Amino acid sequence: MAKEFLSQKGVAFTAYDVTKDKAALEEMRKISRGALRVPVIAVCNEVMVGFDGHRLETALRCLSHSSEIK
Amino acid sequence: MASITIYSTEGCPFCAKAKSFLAERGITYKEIDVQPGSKAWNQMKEKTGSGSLPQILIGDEPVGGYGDLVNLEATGELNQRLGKAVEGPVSPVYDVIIIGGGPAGLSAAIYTARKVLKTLIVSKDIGGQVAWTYDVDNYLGFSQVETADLIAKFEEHVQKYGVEKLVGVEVKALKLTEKIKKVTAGDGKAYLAKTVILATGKRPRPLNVPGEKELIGMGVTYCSTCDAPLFADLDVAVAGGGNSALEAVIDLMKVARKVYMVSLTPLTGDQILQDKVMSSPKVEVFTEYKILRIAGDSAVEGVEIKSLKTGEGKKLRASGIIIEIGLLPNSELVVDILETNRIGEIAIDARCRTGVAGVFACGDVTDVPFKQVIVAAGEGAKAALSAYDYIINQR
Repeated sequence: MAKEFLSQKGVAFTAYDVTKDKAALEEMRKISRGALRVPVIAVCNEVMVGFDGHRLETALRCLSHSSEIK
Repeated sequence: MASITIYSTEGCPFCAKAKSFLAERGITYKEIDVQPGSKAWNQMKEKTGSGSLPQILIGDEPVGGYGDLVNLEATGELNQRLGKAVEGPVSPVYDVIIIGGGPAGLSAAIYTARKVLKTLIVSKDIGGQVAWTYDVDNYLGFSQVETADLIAKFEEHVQKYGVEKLVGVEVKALKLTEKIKKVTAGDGKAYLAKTVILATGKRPRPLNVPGEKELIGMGVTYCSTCDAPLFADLDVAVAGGGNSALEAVIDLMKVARKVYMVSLTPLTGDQILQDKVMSSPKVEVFTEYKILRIAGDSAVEGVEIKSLKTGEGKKLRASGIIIEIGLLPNSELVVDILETNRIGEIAIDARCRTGVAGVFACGDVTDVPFKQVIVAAGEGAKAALSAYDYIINQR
């Protein structure tokens, strides 16, 4: 659902399958302070545990801001 | 009020449907019978630019066929075009509101849509409990299918009929005893319907211990199939002693470092699963132990348990806990209105009737035995057909 949401918004993302990629699983646990649930979504400096369309949309604003600054 | 003209001919099913659609709403119309090549036929072609039957006009404006008429009503435009003479509530009255988007609810939607009942699905998700499993091996026609694909197929099937859906929204209140039922949803709106089909399913039973709610997603989970792989190389606890709990332990044995199984009773699951669990050096089983607390600040750090026999307490170090202690029917909103059994399942008869006129129930929330996808889908079909019968008999 989260991947579909991002694709629809035209946002490029990297997907890690944590069931197959142990290093990614470690990183996920670290950045989310111990989350044991997927998806964990990192946008700019924000880390979200679980998919919440509204929250993700708000978080995505940082992407357009950074490009404006450049 | 603008007048409606309908060009039709005998033996044309959609002409009949269009006429009964108008009649049911108390809308009068002028009917012109046409035979291909007749004078009336030519007149119709001239006015509408189409030679297919039926052709419907509001005043002099061509609307199209039966499907177009239904669409006009769905958007509220039909009343508008007809002028104020047509009475009706501001919010549409659905023929049926289906609450729940699992196999029972989706199957019901297909049946109501095919009976051309104006249908709305209200559900917090699509797929329901089956979405927590990885694959399904016992659904007719699919010897093995990934659950996500099966649900996508269900949804696609429903979509084909253009059923209205309100997904991601929970129902907050229900008024079911009146002739027109009222469904108040989490979006703050009230939806009206002649019939309601309850297909709300079940949810995992919580332990109701301190730390549980706070740490959901941070080590506390109710879905071993979804989350077991995330516990790789960790110490994990499993709460429960039945088949689901044993299966969770078996899933974890493959990936976790250590698995603690904590059951309030002696193990009740199948012997073959028990043997598998007992043979693993990774697993430590605590039967007749009560879970007192799930410890941890931001993530699960341990589980506190107490022996029912000796009263001795223990602290297990674990980064997570999978809770598999059974399911609860999602029937809270109706327990005061409908008859339920000892475990809160809605009692229904062979036609999915609940005892309140116009209210039907199907799937795992009911007292029908054997909670299976195919059973739920079949029950959904039955509930839909019963709702259809009820509506027909009300006319």
